[in-house]
Amino acid sequence: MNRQLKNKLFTYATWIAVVLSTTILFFLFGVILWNGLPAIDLNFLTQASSNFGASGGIIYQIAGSVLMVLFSALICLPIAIGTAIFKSEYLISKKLHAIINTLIYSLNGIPSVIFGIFGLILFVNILGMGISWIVGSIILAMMILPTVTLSTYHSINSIPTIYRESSLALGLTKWQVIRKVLLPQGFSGAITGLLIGVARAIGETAPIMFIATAFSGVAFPSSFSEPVSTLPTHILALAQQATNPDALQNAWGSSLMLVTLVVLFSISALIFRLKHQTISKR
Amino acid sequence: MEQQSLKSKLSVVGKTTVDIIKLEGLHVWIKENHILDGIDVNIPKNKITCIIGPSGSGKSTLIRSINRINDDVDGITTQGNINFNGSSILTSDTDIASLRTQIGMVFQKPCVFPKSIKENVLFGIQHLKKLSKIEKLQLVEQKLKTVSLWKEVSHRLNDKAISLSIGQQQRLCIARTLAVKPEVILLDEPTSSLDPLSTRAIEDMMVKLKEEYTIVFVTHNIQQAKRIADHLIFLCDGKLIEQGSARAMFSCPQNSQTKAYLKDEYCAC
Amino acid sequence: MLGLTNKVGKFYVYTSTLISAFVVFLIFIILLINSWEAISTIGLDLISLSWNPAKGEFGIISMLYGTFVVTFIALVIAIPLGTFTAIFTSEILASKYRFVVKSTLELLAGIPSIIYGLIGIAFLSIWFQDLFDLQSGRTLFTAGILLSVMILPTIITLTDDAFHNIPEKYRETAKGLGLYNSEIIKEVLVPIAKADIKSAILLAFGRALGETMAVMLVVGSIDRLPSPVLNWLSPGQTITSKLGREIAETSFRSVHFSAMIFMGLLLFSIVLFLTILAQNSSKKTERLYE
Repeated sequence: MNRQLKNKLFTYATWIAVVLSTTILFFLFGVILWNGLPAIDLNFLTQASSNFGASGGIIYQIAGSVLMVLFSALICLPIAIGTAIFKSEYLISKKLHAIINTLIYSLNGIPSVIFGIFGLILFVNILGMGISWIVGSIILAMMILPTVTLSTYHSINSIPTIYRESSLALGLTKWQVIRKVLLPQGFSGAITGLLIGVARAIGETAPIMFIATAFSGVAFPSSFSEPVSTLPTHILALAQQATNPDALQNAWGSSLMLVTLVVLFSISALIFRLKHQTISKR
Repeated sequence: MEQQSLKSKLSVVGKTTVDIIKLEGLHVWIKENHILDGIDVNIPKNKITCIIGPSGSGKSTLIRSINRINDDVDGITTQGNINFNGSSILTSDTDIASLRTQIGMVFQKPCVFPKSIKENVLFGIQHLKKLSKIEKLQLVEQKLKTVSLWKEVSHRLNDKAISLSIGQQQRLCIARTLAVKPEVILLDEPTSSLDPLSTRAIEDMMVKLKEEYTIVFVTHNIQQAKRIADHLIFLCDGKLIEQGSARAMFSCPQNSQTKAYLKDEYCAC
Repeated sequence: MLGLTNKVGKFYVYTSTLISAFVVFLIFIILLINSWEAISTIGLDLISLSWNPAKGEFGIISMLYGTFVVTFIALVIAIPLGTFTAIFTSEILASKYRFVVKSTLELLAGIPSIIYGLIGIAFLSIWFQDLFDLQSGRTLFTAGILLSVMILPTIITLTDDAFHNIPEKYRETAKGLGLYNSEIIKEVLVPIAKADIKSAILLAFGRALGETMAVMLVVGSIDRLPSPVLNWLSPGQTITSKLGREIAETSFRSVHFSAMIFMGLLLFSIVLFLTILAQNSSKKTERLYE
């Protein structure tokens, strides 16, 4: 009976934890929806902001965010694919493999604000690129590099060895095998990784707030070397005027928009992953 | 408590065959698949009952119903009744954990926990009662001797169990089940992943163990059933085709399907 | 021709890998060079209590203290809550609901930290202000609580995976021996999943240390130790909030800037250490994109 009682108590404990966790988590979604929905209408989505964000819309913030993550994806993609091919097809030494893995995981773990100060020192100051959105794209590309690399690596690595061997036996060179046999599959992994990475990058504030953005009075950039305004930095600016109800309302509207973009990218990643799931394991 | 007294009553009855487990009209569905279709069988006490049949005939589902390990399978529905020592075990207030200490189980692939050999033997029993250090050692020695593993491992009881060969691991699993002192031991194709030598060792062990335990043994190997079975249950496509004493069934099966299966391992159902 | 494309391909692949591998070193070197000024001119005085750039005082103790207090509060709440929730999702919840639960958690883990910050400012800090009758609800405690919510999805998903990856045979065998569910979890599953749970906690630890936006908005941003020192219901400062608030207003190559970068270097090193520990603790290399 004693053991049975303990079992019951344990089950209750897990139930309490679950109820608490779900309450918290649903509260979060609820708050964002509840406060965000009243702020959003067509004008909000299509107009420029004015009065330091307290009135007007967020069209340039959306454009700035999308532009920046789009370019970060473009910068990241070739490097990630190259690294993934190297890891999967060229690297034989187990030790080197472990070292590269450690480096990739370390890069993934670096706090976002560190990327920000790194970008500030190297690109903005030493290389003199100034506060510009392309610096932001480069930094975000570095941040999502591990995610994209590993996702690509896993999809290439899951192709059974027999495909490589039979292609080589037909007289294809190593590079031809990579291009014709491995890359088509690796590409779907890369896209999945990119979507996940972009979902994360678009919400980042700390890495870009001192290197790529201006808080107000910014329209669509006409060159690489201009700052833009983005959704997360816009929310930050508005959050700091939280005593002004108009500013707060727009902050919630921008938040809901940002979450919507994140969810869109995440769900596309999920759908893409399910669609292109590799059946075979190496 | 009630079961304890029942057990003593049953042992008074003595040598005549007593059925310790009775299945009455057992149906099992997993999602839409009708896996077992109205099975009525008896398991005689202190005998080896072999369940045979082609793969997919429901042998495993049947044996796994007896200690309700099937309960947690996704989408399972059970109907009918299973009686153990005269009382139903399919009621909602059955204490499943304590039922499983009375009806032990050994699986197809040996599964040792990532602990030492000694800890593995004691793994189940230590939850049931407090044992002193000496009692523990005695128990380990006794059970490992029963499964004839003692000589091979007595000098390294604290080694990881995973270091043993597959055949040794399976015997260790049997010792672990014996340590809990169940009345019935269910074995689900316990020798199918083993080498012939370990297989023989386990078969010999079964014949010895039936003095103390009731054994239910699933196998797809007809020769094996012939060597050890007292009682035989033949399933095909979820239906009971025939059951009876092994000797009778092997010498003159009543059913033509049984005859074909025992001869050619072929079943046209 | 064939040989040439083969060579170009090889060159491309090697270069990409070098870039990927080089980034971490580059960040480390840049941080080290730029904090050198502070290390050489201020030296051991970095480890003192007072931060006052006007007087040339750059003591980082209060930032370090804030960082660890906030992280400590977050972990103390999130670890038990997250582990028990993960046990529920993996061991008690029927597997058909698993996909929904996992997806919801991944979405939650994806909510940008600035939004947590906004929630912290608009709700949490105001609640605590009323609840504890404070002058301002922006305190170390508020930041810790907010952070615990932020790392909760990480702990739940990673721990859930750790349990879920354990083969079913261990559960069945233990059931076959007559163990109760709680005993199976405690004595079979937890020991097997221990390494992965440890690595989940280390990763969450690292993430909590490095979290910037949400903490920056609710921590209060005052560069001194609370008095008494354990009064966590008073405003404080963390390394990340300090960097986020001040670095843009500091002139490049000044001692002040260098002292800030030194804190960044410290944070970088601690998080790197935790990441490598976590990586070595977990035998799998799969987990990353969540």
